[in-house]
Amino acid sequence: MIKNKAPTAQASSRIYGKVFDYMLEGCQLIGRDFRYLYLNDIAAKQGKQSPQDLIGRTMMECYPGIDRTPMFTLLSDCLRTKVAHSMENQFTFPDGSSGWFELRIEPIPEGAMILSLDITERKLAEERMQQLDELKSTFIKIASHQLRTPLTTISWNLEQVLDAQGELKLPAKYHTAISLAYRFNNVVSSRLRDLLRALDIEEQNISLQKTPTDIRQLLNAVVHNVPDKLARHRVHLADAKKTPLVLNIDPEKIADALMRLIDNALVYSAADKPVEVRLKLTPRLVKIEVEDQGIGIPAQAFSHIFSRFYRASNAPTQEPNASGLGLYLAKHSVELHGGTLGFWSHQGKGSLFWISLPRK
Amino acid sequence: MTNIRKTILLVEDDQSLLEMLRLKFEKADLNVLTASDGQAGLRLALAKRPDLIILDLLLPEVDGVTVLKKLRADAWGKTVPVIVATNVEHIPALNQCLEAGVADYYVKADVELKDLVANVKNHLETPTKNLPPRQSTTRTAS
Repeated sequence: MIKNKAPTAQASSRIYGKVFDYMLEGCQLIGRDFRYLYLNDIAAKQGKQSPQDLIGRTMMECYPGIDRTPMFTLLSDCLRTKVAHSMENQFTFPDGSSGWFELRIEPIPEGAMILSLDITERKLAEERMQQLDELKSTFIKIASHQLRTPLTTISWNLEQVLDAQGELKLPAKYHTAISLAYRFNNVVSSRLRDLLRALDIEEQNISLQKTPTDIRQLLNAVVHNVPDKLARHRVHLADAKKTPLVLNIDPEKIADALMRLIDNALVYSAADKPVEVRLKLTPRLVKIEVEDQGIGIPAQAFSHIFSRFYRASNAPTQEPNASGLGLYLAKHSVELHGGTLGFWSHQGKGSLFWISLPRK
Repeated sequence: MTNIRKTILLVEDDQSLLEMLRLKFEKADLNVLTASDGQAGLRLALAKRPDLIILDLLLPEVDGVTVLKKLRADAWGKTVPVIVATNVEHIPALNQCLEAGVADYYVKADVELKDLVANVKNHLETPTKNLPPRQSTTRTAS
């Protein structure tokens, strides 16, 4: 049998050798009976064997177990159907070590040609990156959870003191001091929450809990519950209608997104400027607009405004401490509903942000 | 008509939080049982049959999800309202709680003590079960 095959292998080597010997990719020609007909030096080196040891022998003889690999399945398919395939293959050598190869398997008259590129280093680098990424996520999660318990203790204790003001009758300046401490403790908690939510998005760990929700009622509740009591009166809701407008949404996520837009509008406009919230309807969409007369967004920041941790160049003058996560999280929540979050803005004049949700 | 004083069980391993919760709920006219680990919590729950349980998830000995599952396997425990109050927002754990059935789910750092108390009283008066989880509440400080 081998005698019959050997001339074919030699003939193939002669013909293809001239073409493939100097290629930078590994190249091997495999006969229909899985015998090596030709290998260039690169392919032999990748396979940790010399061409002479392989040519004329079957792949199964040279690499026992190779016939149980996904690569072999594709190769068999290529030999049978003459259809080309490509894949990234982790190859385990007889000595137990392994390497990664990008393979292209092409049909040729003699059988198949396998072109291989050693991508082991790239794969290892990717693996390291992934490990680092996981480490980063784990670190943030652990740190956040560890921080939350003491934050809870601080928050609940301060809340007790504030609630007991009736009995304690603390002088105004101390009461203010405790209120401030309480407020900023809560800011830390909500930053942590945002950070964890951004991680959840990155890990695709967020799902919606949809329920039929009257969007008018939700809008009213959000506008009337603006956390900053002092700024609440600046928010005007332009929708006076009472007819329920029911959408199947995750109310918490949409309320959260809307609250972030209103909060931004308040923060990035002067204390005497109003913020308009409007509800607009088209046959297919519900659009909630939030318009301010604030500092606006510089045009060069338009394309970055929804990126994580991004803050426009003029933002810190108005609010030095912000995470740059608000719009990123809001946009994600809206898009999970199949909606869009958009804006236009004119620096120095103001911004208009809108949430648009499908009615069906 | 006289109201029978209701009893709740707090399962929380952080002593300062446990103490704060205990005082707050006692002030709200409730009998309060406490446990600092999952095993003690489960034992106490089955022995004393409180009207409601507030359960942390990260607990020594037996974790909160296991406590919840073991409760739900008990004839009495399968209907007792359980409010999860934790600082973990671990989605698989959260889903397991929802599957087992919880009355509510709070992140402690994101909830005001008085809202928690109001919610517990609410559940004691009109028990509801298997609500979707709440991720946070909007808070104000002034």
